[in-house]
Amino acid sequence: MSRARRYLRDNGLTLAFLALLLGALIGQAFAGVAELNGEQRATGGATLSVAQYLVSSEFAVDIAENWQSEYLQFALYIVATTWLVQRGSSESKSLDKIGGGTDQEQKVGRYAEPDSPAWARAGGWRTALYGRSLGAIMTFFFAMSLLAQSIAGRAAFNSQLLDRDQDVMSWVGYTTSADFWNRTFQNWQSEFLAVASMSAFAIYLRQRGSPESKLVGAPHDATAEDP
Amino acid sequence: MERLVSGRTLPLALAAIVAAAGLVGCAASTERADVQRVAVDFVTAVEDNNGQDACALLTSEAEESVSGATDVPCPTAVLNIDESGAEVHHIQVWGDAAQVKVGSDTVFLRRLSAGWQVRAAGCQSQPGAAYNCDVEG
Repeated sequence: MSRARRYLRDNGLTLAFLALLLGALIGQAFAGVAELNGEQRATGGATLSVAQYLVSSEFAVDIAENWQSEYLQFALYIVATTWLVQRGSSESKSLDKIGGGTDQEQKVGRYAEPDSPAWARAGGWRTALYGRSLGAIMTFFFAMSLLAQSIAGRAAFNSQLLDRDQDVMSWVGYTTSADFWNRTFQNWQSEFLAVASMSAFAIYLRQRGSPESKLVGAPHDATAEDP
Repeated sequence: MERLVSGRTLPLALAAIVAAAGLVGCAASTERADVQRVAVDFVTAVEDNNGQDACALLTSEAEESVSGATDVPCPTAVLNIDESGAEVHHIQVWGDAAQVKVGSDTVFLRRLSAGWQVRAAGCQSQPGAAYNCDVEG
């Protein structure tokens, strides 16, 4: 197998979803600028090119409000599944494995194996930090996306306020406004619905070959970790 | 296994973000200058009793609003707006909408295909509500 084909095979899951992300962003850009320009023509405003739309606050807030909720979903999910279990779900640990696990189970410190990551073997703060790095990076990107939503959302909302002969809002004012929280909660509810649905459906339904599913013949009350 | 990303990816991404931020900042300062110029030109034209130039700076809807239900043409009717002074106190530009507090007046502008134009003028602040404007487009 050539090096290129091996790269595609070894990283297919990430690359496929990055390609889907790029396609969806391109679709959003063209659909979004068409919608905005339709409104602009109806009110006599200046229309935007796709390039101008890509750097507009309207595009930025539409991106950021979706990204922050996705990263929040994963941050909460990653951390919550450490401590919360769901009997029978492929999304859950075994009911007797609640918590962070022992050092031996987690292969850290003196229990690390030759090919374990260096910070898993190092011990001390490095191992403690590395052992929480996945939840931490998701939380960081959630925070950054939420900040971007607040900044871009304020810009888009202030443009609407000026069009209505009203004074603009400060950043603090916007982050306590109905517009900000309406955007935020409508995104959050869909993310939490998805996790709850997946957790429940995975108890009784199967997807052969997917690591997100129990084995087709596994009993309903077994989690993914149960033998 | 082939690694997903190389070590050169992050510096290139950061450089692109910084360059984009610089371009956005330059565009914003040009917009503020254009908005200020149009607002000051409008207020000055009204104060100088130059109704023709003032109306040229209004949106078509605002121009119709000036005459209202009467047959008084815009160049005459627009001079009824109470303007005093052309010192700019405050500028807000967000997207294609702007607000300028100039002299004793507050004007609202909109960026149309032909550039920035005055959409509302002779505006007075109303606590907890939209400004009450003599000219509204």
